[in-house]
Amino acid sequence: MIELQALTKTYGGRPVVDEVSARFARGTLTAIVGSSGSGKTTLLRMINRLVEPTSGRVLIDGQDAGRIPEVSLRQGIGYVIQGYGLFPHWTAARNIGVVPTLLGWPEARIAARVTELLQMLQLDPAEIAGRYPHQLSGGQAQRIGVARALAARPDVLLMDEPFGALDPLIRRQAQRDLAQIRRQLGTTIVLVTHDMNEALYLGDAIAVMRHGRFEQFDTPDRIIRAPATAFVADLVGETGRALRLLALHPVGSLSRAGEAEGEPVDVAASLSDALAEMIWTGRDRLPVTDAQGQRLGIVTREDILARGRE
Amino acid sequence: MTALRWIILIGVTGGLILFPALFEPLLRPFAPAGGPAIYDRASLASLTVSHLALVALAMIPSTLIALSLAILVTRPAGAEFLPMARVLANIGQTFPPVAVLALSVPLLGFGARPTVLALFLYGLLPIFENALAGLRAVPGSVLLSGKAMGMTPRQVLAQVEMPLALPLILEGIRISIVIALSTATIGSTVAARSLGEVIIAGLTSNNPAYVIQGGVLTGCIAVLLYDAFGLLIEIAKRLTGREPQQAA
Ligand SMILES: Nc1ncnc2c1ncn2[C@@H]1O[C@H](COP(=O)(O)OP(=O)(O)OP(=O)(O)O)[C@@H](O)[C@H]1O
Ligand SMILES: [Mg+2]
Repeated sequence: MIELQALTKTYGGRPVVDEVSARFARGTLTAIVGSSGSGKTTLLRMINRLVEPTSGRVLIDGQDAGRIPEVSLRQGIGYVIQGYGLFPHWTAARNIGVVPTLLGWPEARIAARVTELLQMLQLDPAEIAGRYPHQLSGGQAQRIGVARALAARPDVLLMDEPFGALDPLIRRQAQRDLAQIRRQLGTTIVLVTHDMNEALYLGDAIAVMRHGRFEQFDTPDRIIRAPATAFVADLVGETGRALRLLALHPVGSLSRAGEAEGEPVDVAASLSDALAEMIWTGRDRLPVTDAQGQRLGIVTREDILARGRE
Repeated sequence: MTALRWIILIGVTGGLILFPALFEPLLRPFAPAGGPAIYDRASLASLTVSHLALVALAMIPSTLIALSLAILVTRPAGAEFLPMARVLANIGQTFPPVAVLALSVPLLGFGARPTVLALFLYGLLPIFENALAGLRAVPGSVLLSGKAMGMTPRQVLAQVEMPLALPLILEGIRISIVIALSTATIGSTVAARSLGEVIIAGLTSNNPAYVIQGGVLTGCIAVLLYDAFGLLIEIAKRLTGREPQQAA
């Protein structure tokens, strides 16, 4: 768990992060959303002390981060830097292995971990491991950045606009991959983004940041239903709220017994995806299957519409 | 093309040093009638060795000091020394080596020492400026990455900054060495043993053959070292992943 206590950073007397207090529960993903210059990066960097707080504290699992030696604190926290910051003179494999190397892992263990991570991130080790950063596409470089941050199995992962530089298609894929792997990891993740949709899609909790403060720190559901300020409402957008709510919930949450015809929908797909499928194919009920293709039941249009009105 | 260049350079240099007699027919037309065409007061080989020794004695401390200065002023704590370091390195360059020789002979006496001093001072600036440029060219995001991964400042320097700056550092050393090789010839005016001795002997005894063999040998060694450093720089770039595997 990460706890911020009245965390403050001032530059030249001007507060950039202003007495922020919050708790990020263990194993959750908290998305920090806000416009440029609102203090997101500064807040994130106070967690691994790349920026020293002017006042206030960060507690990681109850321990004051200010008292943990910088180097060991950072080796225990994964950091995906804005713009990736891969080491240009090292291969992808060596980039990924940097923290394990610093920690003195035996070489065979590092190599095994690198292969494991590349596979987890859908990269072919034989093809990618030996490449230098300038030989990687943006999407590949981004994934190497994530793999590097995860290499030493940190309990905490900080991600600063990890998908900001990707084209929309690759970005969707990368977001899906992250949603997927975080379930296997159990890592506490803090992710900074400009993009409210990304925050809603990935976050268990969302902090909307403005002028160095959290305007609202809440579940995605509450952020959509009950924006605390005009700024939050503005970020969420006036239109399409019902659809956005539906996008937050998986088909599995409304799955019931029954029979239905046609192409099935995955249990992990969102309700908005299911609704779109119904509109497109002119059906009012869809079979639900799990990842292995096993029939689980059905989902109906009435149920989805009722959920959207809640 | 490059192979031919290497063969010619090594051939001329090696030939002049080891078998100067072979060049007698070529140099004969430039020698005064009846006079010697090949320098005979000392062997070209031993003069080359002393010449290179002068350069090495100057370049090793020059490199160490200029590099240390560049590292110092690129640390947060050393940033304030940058203007001072610049002045220091610039003084070395603005003083012509001849002036350094003239001024230091009364203190250091005749021979190798004033020459080494002049070459040392003259070599500082190119190495310093290139190392500085190399260290400064390391992207901020890469430095931050190192820090964020939990590297100590020392590890960031040794594992990230130095390898990335290496090609430019070598470039600086290359420039300084080439300058030092040619400048070392004037050391012979204060009785340092170098290939300059041959050139000066040629000038004073009106024997262009001496001037040519001294000049050509010095020049060839300079170009050889220049090319050798070029290779080193290529290797450094390749090892640090900045050269595309297939040259376009
Ligand atoms: N080292 C610094 N010195 C002075 N001001 C700084 C420093 N670092 C950040 N700031 C200022 O603090 C404010 C917040 O910066 P920060 O990088 O945290 O914003 P951000 O929310 O991450 O923005 P972006 O979305 O553009 O990345 C900005 O106004 C920035 O200019
Ligand atoms: Mg930022």
